[in-house]
Amino acid sequence: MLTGGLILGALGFVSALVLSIASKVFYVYVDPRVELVEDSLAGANCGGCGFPGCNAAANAVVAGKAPVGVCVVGGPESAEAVGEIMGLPVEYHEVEFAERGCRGGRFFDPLLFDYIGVQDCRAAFMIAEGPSNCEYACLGFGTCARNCPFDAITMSERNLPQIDYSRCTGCGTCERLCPKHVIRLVSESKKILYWNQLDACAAPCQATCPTQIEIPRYLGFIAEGKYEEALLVIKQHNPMPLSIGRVCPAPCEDVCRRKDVDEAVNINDCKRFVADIEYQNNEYLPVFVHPDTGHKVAVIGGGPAGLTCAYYLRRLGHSPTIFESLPKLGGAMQYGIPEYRLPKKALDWEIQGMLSIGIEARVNTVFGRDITYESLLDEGFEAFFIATGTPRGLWTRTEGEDLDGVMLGIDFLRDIGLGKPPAVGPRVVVIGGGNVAIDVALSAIRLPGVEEVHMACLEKRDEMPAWEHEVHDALAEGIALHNSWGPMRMLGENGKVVCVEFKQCTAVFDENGRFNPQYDESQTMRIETDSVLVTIGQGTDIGFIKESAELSKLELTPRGTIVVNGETMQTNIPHIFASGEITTGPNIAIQAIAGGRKAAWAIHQYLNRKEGEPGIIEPPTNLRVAALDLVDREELQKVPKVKREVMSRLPVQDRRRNWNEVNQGLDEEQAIRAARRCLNCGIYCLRPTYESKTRDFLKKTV
Amino acid sequence: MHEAWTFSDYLLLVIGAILVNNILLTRFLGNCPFLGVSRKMETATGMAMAVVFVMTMAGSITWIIQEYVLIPFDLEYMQTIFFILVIAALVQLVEMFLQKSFPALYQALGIFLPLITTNCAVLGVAVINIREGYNFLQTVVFSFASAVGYGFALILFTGIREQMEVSSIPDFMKGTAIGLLTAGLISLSFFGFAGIVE
Ligand SMILES: Cc1cc2nc3c(=O)[nH]c(=O)nc-3n(C[C@H](O)[C@H](O)[C@H](O)COP(=O)(O)OP(=O)(O)OC[C@H]3O[C@@H](n4cnc5c(N)ncnc54)[C@H](O)[C@@H]3O)c2cc1C
Ligand code: SF4
Repeated sequence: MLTGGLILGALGFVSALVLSIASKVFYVYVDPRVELVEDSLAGANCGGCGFPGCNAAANAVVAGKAPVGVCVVGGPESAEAVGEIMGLPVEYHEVEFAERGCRGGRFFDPLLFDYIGVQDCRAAFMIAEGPSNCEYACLGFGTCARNCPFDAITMSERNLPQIDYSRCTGCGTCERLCPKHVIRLVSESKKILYWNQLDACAAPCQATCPTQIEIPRYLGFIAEGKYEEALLVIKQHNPMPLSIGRVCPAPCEDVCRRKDVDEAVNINDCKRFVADIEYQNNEYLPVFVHPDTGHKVAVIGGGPAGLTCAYYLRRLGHSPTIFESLPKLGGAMQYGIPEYRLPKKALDWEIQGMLSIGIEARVNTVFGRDITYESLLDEGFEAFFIATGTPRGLWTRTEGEDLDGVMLGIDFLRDIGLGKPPAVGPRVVVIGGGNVAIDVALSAIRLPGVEEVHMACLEKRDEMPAWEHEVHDALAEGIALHNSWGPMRMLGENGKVVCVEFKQCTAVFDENGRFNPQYDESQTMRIETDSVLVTIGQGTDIGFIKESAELSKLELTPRGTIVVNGETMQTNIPHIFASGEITTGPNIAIQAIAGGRKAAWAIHQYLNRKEGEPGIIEPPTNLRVAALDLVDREELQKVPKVKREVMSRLPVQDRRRNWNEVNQGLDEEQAIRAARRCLNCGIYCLRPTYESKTRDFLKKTV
Repeated sequence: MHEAWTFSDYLLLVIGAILVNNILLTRFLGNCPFLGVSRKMETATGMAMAVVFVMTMAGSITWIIQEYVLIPFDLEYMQTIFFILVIAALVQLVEMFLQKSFPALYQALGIFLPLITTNCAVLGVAVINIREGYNFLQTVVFSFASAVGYGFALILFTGIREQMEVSSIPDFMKGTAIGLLTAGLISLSFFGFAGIVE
């Protein structure tokens, strides 16, 4: 027993001796930082960094072959810790999270064949790219969900991956595995910089919206009661949902596929609903803002185009400054659209929220007078964005227009906006038949002392450029509408207008559809009046361009708008961009917002151009320009019919002599019902069998 | 002691160790890494290589210890504790040696070397060598062949498990449950080799 113990001890001693000698003889220097660095990584061994495991990543960092921010899972904290160990500065690396592109999946997609092989997307993909009919559709075998190292993905009842953002670390395993690229990693910046790509599952509404809001996605969130998520989806494309939700004519609703079932979804009303919730809570939802890049951009004009461009540039980390000639920001939304359609308190609150992410605004500053192109260059601005809109009203050029009591409708609205409504009435004639004319007429009738308001336009009732519901409102509120009359002259007494004479307009457009009014001068009409408000259109005001030697090199159209590339908003001078009404002429606000967002995209590219390059920005490639209309109408007929929600409005008798908002918005139940009506359209979902040569053989053989 | 062995005797020893008396599937030794590292082919092959390496080394060295330490001093009753000590020390030594002299091999075997220091299969083979009364050469061959058998079973099993990852398995059977069942079935099929070598 004793010998046993002794010998064992001896053997142990010998082994220890040998080992300790060996550890000297075979000593290999291991950089102690490797271990330290490895401890600072997430330790998930997910491979998100592109290295086989955390140890390999740590080795690469120490060898200088990987940046300190190598660990996507560990994020900024890990990067900081590693940076400290390595004594290297931490480069900012924006976090990315997985996002799913397909909304329909197998649920909607008529399958090409029955697949009974290995239940894995990669395996299924090997056979003619899987049984799915749509080349962009999710195959639904859940390879991503099974392989997510953080269990952040589950498959929904519809067999679509659902991402749990509290768990997703952005390791990218799903992106690497998905054979159809349905799941991708996207950062907030990428979302801001995104324009519909060819492979985007863009619903008709989303493809039609000028700024390409992901409509079905936000409607889906509203239907689930997730209002904040919905609002954030909207704000990736449109920073002014509170205002746009009130004034947008909603081109998206014109193309809504639901119209083939019953009526369009209340897309815009739903937008207003979620924005109103933020407004009522009086607390701005935090949004992602990239750390400062230090690039200064001058934004000329504080209308929706300028505000939007500044907002997205700021969220991308740049430092925009808005220069606005009037006391308040908002442009035509502030000084054009009347209070009863867009309460200025709401607009100001929304603009304040946009500025609060770090945008500087200098109001009461006229470009061309208080500041100039040259002075701003001296201040260190690297790029310019011009969005001065169409602030100049057009005259009819009839005799007597210079009389007292005749003014431009657009100036009339601006003065009301500035808080000093002009003295008009008691009788008012508005000349013009567009939406702005109706805003002028309905504003006039709200003023104290105004007794009757007439509106005269060249067009017949059904030709009027104003939207039908606006005309309807005008008639309901007691405006006297005179169709097919053109002003002949204005008569005055003591230099003050007393009467307008009209001649009959027989045709507004010639056979080529061009504006070319014909009159029958034998038919005339007189309206006795105290004020005339001329509202027949607006033009750009480009004095500041003409006065500057450099700016006068800008290419202009004959009607005084700036020529830009339609996707990048870049002018012929590379560091000058422009959009909104200064490039399009009178338009709708969402178009100005889209222009601002596009310009932000391009200015971002411009600021990040390679050193020494002139920075002529190429438009993004593979853009989807239109929705595909491949819908199976028979299939649509099976959808149960549900009525469109009707928003409650202020009764006509309550609108007199006050500026209370007319449209009251949807209540919560209505909004949810409205959102549930959305068909969640994709590009190919709900369409007849997809014809494709490459797959024809399958139809024969399988 | 056996007669002088012919080549075919050795061949039978090898086949016996790999197929008929597979250390994993018929002797059921070393089951925990069998289930633990059989999820991925990459790790399974690493493990298999490490086992081949360590088992052959350990089998040989323990044979020497038995022959020149334990028997002369009448300490066979302390065999287990001696073997554990020696194997542990040996693996450490080998690890250091590899790290210095064959960094590539060291990288490949990675963490699996220390992992199997006290693997029961390694100890098992060492003990079997003694019990069967093998001479040194037979010990080396048998240890090596057993290790190959171990690696063979491990890789086979990993292949099946990787397939199972992508097949639809009833929820209650997922994971270890189906793993054990499969191991059982493979094991049964290996019993089919029984009797090829007496
Ligand atoms: C009465 C009215 C009603 C409308 N109703 C609707 C509606 O219901 N729905 C809808 O979608 N759209 C509507 N619009 C159109 C919409 O408001 C415009 O399309 C949109 O505001 C255009 O945006 P913008 O940024 O291009 O220009 P603007 O909004 O015109 O902004 C330009 C800004 O630049 C400033 N600016 C001009 N020159 C200078 C200078 N030299 N220096 C500094 N600043 C300068 C101006 O003061 C102004 O603030 C309406 C427009 C009007 C006039
Ligand atoms: S039904 Fe929904 S997704 Fe389809 S067009 Fe209308 S709003 Fe867009």
